[in-house]
Amino acid sequence: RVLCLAHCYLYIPSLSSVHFHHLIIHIAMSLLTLLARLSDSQMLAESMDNAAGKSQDIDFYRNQAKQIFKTLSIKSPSRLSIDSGPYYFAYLIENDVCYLTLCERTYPKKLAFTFLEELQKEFDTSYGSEVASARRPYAFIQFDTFIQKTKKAYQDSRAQRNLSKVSDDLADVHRIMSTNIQDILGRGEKLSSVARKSEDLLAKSKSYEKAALSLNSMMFLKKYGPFIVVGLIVMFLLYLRFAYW
Amino acid sequence: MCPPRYARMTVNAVPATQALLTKSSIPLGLVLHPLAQPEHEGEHIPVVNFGSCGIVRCRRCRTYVNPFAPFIEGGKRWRCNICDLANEVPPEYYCQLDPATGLRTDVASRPELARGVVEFVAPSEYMVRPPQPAVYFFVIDVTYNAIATGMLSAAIEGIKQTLSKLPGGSRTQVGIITFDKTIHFYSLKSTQSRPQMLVVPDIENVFVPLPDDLLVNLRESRHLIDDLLEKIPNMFARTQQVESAFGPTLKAAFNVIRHIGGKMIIFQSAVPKAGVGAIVDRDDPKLLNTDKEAVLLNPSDPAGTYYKDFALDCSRQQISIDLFLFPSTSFMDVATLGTLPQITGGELFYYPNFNPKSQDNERFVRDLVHDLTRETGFEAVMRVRCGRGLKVLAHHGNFFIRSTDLLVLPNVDADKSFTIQLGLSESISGVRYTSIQSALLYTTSNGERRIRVFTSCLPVTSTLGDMFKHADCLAIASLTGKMAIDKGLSSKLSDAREAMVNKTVEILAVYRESFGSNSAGSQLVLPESLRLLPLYVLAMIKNVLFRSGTDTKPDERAFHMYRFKTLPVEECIAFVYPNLYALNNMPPNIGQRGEDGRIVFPPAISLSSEKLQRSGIFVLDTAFGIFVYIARDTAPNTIQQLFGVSAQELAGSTGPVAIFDGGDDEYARGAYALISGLQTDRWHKYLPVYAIIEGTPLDAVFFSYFVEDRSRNVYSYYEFLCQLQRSVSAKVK
Repeated sequence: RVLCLAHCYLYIPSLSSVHFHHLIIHIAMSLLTLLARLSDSQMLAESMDNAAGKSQDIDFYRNQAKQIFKTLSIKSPSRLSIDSGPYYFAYLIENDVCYLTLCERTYPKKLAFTFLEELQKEFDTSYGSEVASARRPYAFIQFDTFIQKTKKAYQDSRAQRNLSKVSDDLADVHRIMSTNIQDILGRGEKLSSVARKSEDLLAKSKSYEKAALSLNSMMFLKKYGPFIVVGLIVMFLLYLRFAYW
Repeated sequence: MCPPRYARMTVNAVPATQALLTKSSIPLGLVLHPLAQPEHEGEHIPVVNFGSCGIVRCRRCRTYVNPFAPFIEGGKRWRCNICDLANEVPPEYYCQLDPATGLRTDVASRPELARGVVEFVAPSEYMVRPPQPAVYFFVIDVTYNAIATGMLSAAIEGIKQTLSKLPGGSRTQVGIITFDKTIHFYSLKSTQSRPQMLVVPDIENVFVPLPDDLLVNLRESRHLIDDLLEKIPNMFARTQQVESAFGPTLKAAFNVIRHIGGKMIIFQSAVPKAGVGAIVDRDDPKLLNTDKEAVLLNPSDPAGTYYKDFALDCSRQQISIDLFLFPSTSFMDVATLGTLPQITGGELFYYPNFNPKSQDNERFVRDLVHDLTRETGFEAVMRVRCGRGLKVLAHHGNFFIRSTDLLVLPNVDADKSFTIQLGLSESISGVRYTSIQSALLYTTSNGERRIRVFTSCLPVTSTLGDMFKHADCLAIASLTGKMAIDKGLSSKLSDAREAMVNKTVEILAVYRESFGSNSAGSQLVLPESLRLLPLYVLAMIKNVLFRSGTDTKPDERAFHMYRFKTLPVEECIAFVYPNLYALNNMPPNIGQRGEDGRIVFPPAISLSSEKLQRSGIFVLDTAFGIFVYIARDTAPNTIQQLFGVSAQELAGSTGPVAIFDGGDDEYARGAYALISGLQTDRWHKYLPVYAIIEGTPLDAVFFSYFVEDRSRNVYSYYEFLCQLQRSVSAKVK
């Protein structure tokens, strides 16, 4: 036998794919992690969970993340969690780099911040000195391999072990502030949605105008078209008659 | 001016009016080869990072700033050379103008204002997602056919050889699926000790058994992948499965990599029969050489629609498909399967009569390595912007078009070219110059997002004479061939051949009418720039692409048609009118590097069998293969030194052969140097070498390229010229 372990057949002739998903125990997790340079919000690295990539809303939260980066500065708190819908953002700022991750509500905040700390330690060691001189977006995109690996480690059953380890390191997690996305982005978001709505309206009314005009001209043609054609033919025949006379 | 290797016009002048363009009958077009290899080692495309200023583009038409857009008002504004809008210069980008030249004083230090080809570092607005890693997903047929043809062991061997050379650094991801009547997934989680196989027998409702670990980081899971590659040949060595569930497997592979995109590399031997996308055997030898032959060259239904829709889904998820076909029976319906690489920007490889014991093995492995390691762009899009008077009519190549002018290219590589047919949108008699700009936005295999911009400025002319003077014969011939392929597919092959000849007659008739009226009626007057056009058209008519007769199988023809549409100009021409070299009386430095660092090639001789001699070696280079013709009286030692075997053994081989460095025979050494030079310097890839001994049956293939000779049912070159002359005279009267 060549593949000795688990030559396993998933014998599922009658189960549809929906049933199959029910076999997986849903583990709360981090869906999206972004690193950006604090001084100019330039993106440094990013990693997305596979399952998250398949959902539609992930772009919405990515945009929120980018907006959050824009609001950050030297004066911002170095650690913060921001609630947004069924998720929350947790971020950590160190050495001009902001480490931001999006997690499901049920994911323990302790783990989220330990996860960010681990990312920060590794990133700082490997790339810290190059951050200031990076000139293009995602200059350290190769860091996403480490982010993925670390994220997996924080996801499986060892998370329990991590939790107990964490309670020693991060005793002051209660002192990390928690706020809401509306407070952070607030007005800016509303303004952009209003702008979007009015643009939509303008576009729609333009196309309505076009449609109305074309409908008008079509009606005109329908009504008078045959008459005009007949009239032209008659005039042409008359002209011929007179010309030959 | 943009170097022609990247962007090459069929005519280097634009006609001012539609009337002039129609009258000249010359097809107007642009051949783009965006990732062409630089000619010299030192030559490279300058990379510009605009930094916080952002890339300077026209506000209205989004043209990138380029050397042909003048700066006006003391440098405060610049005039777009595509739409004529005067744009504000951003303050960080401002520079004074030199009063003497009218140019910016910093032109020398700004490549985007001095060079026709330039590359910009793309800021984050040009990305809908972070740059993707290089992803390679292998889908391997493991039916009985695949084992019997030797495909499976060759494919595994090829993948093994490529693994260490895959670009993308630490981010590269790899996955493998095998299939016969069922689909086999492999979990390659790096923390496991061995790869795990999961078999999904249900091909009606295909699903992916694991959310992760089917596509893994190459470096982290390397040991598991190596292990799996060792095991796969043994696992299926004694399989009796003959049915192939190709269609359902495609769906499964799609679901594994859809979240990220990348290259799907498929090795296929058995004709797909199980599940959706089953191929119907519609091969009918009675259709050959009839009007209906084109039906076999077009995708069939319903499989064709399935593959086309699937390819569109792949394109949306930035997945490109490279398809390696190893048919064992005659008909695999290449025309239908070929839509997969064609729409997704991938490539089609076809190995009929694959013999793993011959050099076919080496050829395939080299093709695979080349396919995966050549310069590649991921998740790319390309757009051509035309200046005053010009508009885009049609595109040729492997891509999907979105919203009329955006080419979607999940994958673009160094061998792909795109031919754009151009027309006139309005009369531009008062204008002296017009421009064309093409821009390719792509992610390099190292995860950098770049925009490569090609800008050309062309003079506008109102005279026929100028148009002929600036005509580029090779580009015109290649565009004519590609247009003829479309014609052949939409109506029939004889129409395609006729169309090419008619086009030539039209061009020559116009020329004669306008410039040849002094010549005698019986002479054929050829414009200097287009004097070889009849030769290339004749070559195309006789080429496997269009030739009449019943010898050419539809699969082979369909393959070459798909391939020809993507070839850059030189390769098109080399394929229809190959270079023939006679190795007799060669100077000693043939094949060596000359003073300029380039390999010295002997002059090519014309493809007429009068040029062959009784003894000696002749090398024919088609850019697809190299034929070494050994005349009857050639010394046996030469053959032995060059091929390592005797002439009798060579005569028995049907596939490609190996060559050696020639040892003590000067002649063989020269031949070897020439052949290696062609592979490394001219085409930058391995070409299979076929040995043809004079008098053996295989020399029919060799002589089929001798287009100047009279063949079974088509003229010789001389006769063709006479025929043209008659047609031209008839037209001119």
